[in-house]
Amino acid sequence: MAEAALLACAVRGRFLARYPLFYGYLSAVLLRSLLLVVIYQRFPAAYARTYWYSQFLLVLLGCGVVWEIYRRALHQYPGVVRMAQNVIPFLFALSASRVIAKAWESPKWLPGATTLETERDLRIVQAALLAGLVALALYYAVPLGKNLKGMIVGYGFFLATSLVQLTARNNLGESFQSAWQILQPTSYLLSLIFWLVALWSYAPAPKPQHESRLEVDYQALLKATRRGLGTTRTRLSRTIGS
Amino acid sequence: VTAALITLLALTTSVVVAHWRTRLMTRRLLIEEGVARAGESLWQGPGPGPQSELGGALFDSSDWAVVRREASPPCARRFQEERTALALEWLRQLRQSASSLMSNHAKAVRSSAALSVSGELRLASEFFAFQLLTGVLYGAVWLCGPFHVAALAGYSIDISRRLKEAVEDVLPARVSFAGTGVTAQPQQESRPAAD
Repeated sequence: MAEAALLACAVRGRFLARYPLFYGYLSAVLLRSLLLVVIYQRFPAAYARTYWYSQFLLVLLGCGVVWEIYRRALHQYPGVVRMAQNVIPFLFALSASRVIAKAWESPKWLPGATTLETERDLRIVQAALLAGLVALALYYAVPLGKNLKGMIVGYGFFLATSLVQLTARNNLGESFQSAWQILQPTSYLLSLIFWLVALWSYAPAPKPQHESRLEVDYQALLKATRRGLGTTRTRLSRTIGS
Repeated sequence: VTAALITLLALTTSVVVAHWRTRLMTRRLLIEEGVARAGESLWQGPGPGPQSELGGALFDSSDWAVVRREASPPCARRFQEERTALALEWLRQLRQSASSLMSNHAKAVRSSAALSVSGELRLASEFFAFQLLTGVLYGAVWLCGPFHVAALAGYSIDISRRLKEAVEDVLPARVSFAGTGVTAQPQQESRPAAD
């Protein structure tokens, strides 16, 4: 229902095409829920397999949400894009190398011993990428706008709660199952509420103003900042060491 | 895992509450004494941030030695509390001036296609090292007061100077320390640039 409301808001506000990957992800979640209801009623034996295959498809589509945030948040800031092009692949390599190494050792080519563990490992990669993006946006004070902030908060919350729940379910086993059945839909519903509030209407990131002058002066500015920081440090060491 | 998480949460909460309480006490003490009005910077002078002369006076223990010798214990305690509050405020504003410098830099370079990734990473590492150092100092001043911290810092600076002298005696005439851009030159006192 909440996914349908979100899609309806985007259609009504005519901004569905502004965030195609995000709304693509939401549509996939909605379709999958409907499909699972039908399969559960008509072919119950195929439910578990369909659930897990579609879950992995959703994890992949979730990467699209991270990509959407990256594309929309940073495209007006070439300096931050340049930084992200170096930092994000590094974070990806760091988090994905563990997944690839585990998959390499597995006879089924899956990183986890269980499907839960595999999903958790893939979610860790997403969380690392999203954390890197948020850190860059905060460091460079990139204005995000209400829509992107909502996407980040909602998806970040969903990833964080998923990681905790998947780890708990994997470690505690069946004893956590009943709690998980309540926690998982509740946390996803909370994410949907964040998205619904933030994406009720179109509110893009504000455009940068008066920031196109700095092409040649970058090195001078870097030196000036380092000098300023050095002066502050000297001030501290003189004071304490005096 | 649950116990560790609860302990971590309790520790974080305690640190946050202690920090918030100290900030509140510092501001109240300074306002009480008429040193500052709420939301007002304590320091006046050229350039951003607190001046080193004032900081030097705050961390100087000579006054403290006299007060401890001559004044009654409650008076000495009050003196130490006030000095601690001022020293903490000085450190906080020094951190703030460094943060505002970095914030201005980040806002200025975010649209520059000429941005150098290595330069930015080096700058960020210097900034975070500075923040870490001032954070540790803040905690130490909060726990022990400014006089003991200054003595400890002076001792460690003295040790590092001796260590540097020893290294210069052993190493060849001119050595570049890898990655730091610092060169060691014997018989030449390295002094920080004037403000």
